[in-house]
Amino acid sequence: MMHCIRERLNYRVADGIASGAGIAAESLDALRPGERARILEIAPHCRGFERRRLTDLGLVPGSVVERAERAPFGGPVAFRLRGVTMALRPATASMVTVETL
Amino acid sequence: MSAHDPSACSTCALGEAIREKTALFAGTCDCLVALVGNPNTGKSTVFNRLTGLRQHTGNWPGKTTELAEGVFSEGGRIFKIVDLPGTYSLEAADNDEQVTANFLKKAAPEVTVVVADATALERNLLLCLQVAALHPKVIVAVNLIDEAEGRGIAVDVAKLSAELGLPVVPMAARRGQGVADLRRKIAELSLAVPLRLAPGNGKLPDSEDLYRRAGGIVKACVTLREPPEPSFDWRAALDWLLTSRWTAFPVMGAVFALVLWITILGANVPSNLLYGALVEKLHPFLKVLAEGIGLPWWLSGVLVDGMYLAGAWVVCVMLPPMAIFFPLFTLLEDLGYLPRVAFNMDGLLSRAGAHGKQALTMAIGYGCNAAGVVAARIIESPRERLVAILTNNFALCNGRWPTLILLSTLFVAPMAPAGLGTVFAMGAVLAVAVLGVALSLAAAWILSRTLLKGEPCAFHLEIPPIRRPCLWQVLYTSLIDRTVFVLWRAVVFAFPAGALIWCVANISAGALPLAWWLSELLSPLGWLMGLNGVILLAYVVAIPANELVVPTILMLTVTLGGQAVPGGTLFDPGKAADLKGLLSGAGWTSLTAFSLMLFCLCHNPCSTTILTIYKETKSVRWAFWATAMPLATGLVLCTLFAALWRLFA
Repeated sequence: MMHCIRERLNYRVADGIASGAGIAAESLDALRPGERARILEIAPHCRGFERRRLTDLGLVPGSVVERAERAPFGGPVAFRLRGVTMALRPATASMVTVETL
Repeated sequence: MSAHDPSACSTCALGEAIREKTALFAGTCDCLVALVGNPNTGKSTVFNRLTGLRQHTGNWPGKTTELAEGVFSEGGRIFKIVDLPGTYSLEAADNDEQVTANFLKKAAPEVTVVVADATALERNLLLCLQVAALHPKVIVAVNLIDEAEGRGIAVDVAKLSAELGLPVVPMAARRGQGVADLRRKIAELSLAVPLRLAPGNGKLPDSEDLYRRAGGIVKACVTLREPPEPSFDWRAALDWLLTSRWTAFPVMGAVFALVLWITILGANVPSNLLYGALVEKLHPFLKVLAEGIGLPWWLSGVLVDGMYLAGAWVVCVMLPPMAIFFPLFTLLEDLGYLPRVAFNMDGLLSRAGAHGKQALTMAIGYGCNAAGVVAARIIESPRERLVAILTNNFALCNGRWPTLILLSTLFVAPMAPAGLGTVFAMGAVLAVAVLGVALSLAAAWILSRTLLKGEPCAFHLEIPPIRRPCLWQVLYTSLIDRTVFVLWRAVVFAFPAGALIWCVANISAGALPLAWWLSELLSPLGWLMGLNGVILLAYVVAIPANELVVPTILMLTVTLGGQAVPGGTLFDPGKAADLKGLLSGAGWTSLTAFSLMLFCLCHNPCSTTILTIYKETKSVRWAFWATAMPLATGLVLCTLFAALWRLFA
């Protein structure tokens, strides 16, 4: 996980390249409140327990999420997904690539 | 619960009731049923509705978590139903999920009931489809159907049943709707010959495929219509108030202060009533009785003045605050406020290496640390859960508030300018509580970098919609699960402690009581910490309950001080005419009081809490650290404080 955070910066760069290729991709934590997006993929470096947890929660490619409230002091970000409100820490959310709708 | 359910009453003849009880305790039953479901689907409500009061927690071999099990009878057969921990998926990710997956595999229940949330059916279908892939006899209970209707979500139950190929029961378990139907379906299915065989390879299908299927099923069976536009959406407004950037923290502070205020004030009257009955009336009566049947003085002392009095004392001071605090807290839980508190606090707590839900275990710790430790079960990841358990003692429990308030009133108030005494006294108590929060964050930070080094968990938090609380259930869960549990453990510990306290004060070695020798032994350390030997001795012998510390200090002070008041039994601070005079006479200064206030916050947990930590962690090592860490903090803080005080004052 710490590893994931460290790689976040590199990942952002990769994001930029993806956008260059014509897909309006951004990471889940970059969404603005009320914005809706479709999930494209979970970053390949997110594996094992964490990846499975995200999948179990319904964060699978094709799912549509809507950004909700964000907690103060750099706290978690809330999303609505399949009728459920779910909060993730920014570091986790940043590992999910989405395209805005 | 069963009392409200006519179908249960009509069948519960005496013979059946006896068979049910036997089944519950002897483990005999005609059919084993497992109850699974996502968290927050009202699974426990369904369980309570099915079994009523015929339930207890059972130990299943190889499980770390105790599972609630209950029985019900239908059609003359006894069904045992096991409530498995809430889980999102059978692909075991954390402990709770492993429990569920292993139970389904090893205990091989005949029928499995999957409780699904009608308002979020698509997500819930993942688990349904996984269970259906492994088990032949599965029933889907679509719960919260009333809430879904209110939000304009209509579920076509017949079509859902056809699509899934499983029996489906629509339910509104809070209102008891669908319970009888579910019982009947369980009974029918248990007798049926399985029409289809579960795929034998025992492998779970891929989650992404299952979600695709779930999406298709939901499209076919669920219709959304615009909900009747309410003139004012109170849920959304409340949600905003409870979690928005600017209002979240003030609201949290206000709610928490209100709960504590109601608890401390509201407990006074019943506490005094109980005290009047158990201590003032029953105690002298028992004393007379003991003399009447000719018990020797030492036996009546140990039994009546020692064990009985300590037990009665613990009940008087602990029961009323708990019986108020825990229901209030459970009410907030039922309302859906607590996950929002975890959401608000995670930003701060994650910096200390802790989990957002630790805010809740800390808050429960203000009622009772043992309950706070048990509550840490809600934190899924083991590392963060241990952080919460080890730091819980820095949350001032109910047993310590009165000590602080008493000391503050006696010693801080007189230092304030005229008219501001109460304000200063309360300010000092609050300062200690805030110091407690700071210390628990600091301890979490240090633990995360030393003993509990590790990667932060994959945090996720489901925020359920705000719901109208279900009052009956609030009372039931909070009283049974928390109040009685805590009180029972505390009383069990109070008996031996009472005997010990009595012996220390009343048995002499040489010409002096044992307490004198022991307090002399502890007194150099006491002096160093700005306290005295008597206070330290009281903390040692009154380890079962913080509530016993002040009465023990007073008793020992009186016994050893040669004062005109009769000593030798626990001593109520309210009954001393000139408490401050008494303490000053025994050498107390402002330094003693302030140091004691610090030590009151930072000392070892009570024995009830230590035992609970051992039971929850199954580790002597963690129980030791949980005991040593706050004690060492207290030793260091008090010594530093006393040294500085002596230097400057």
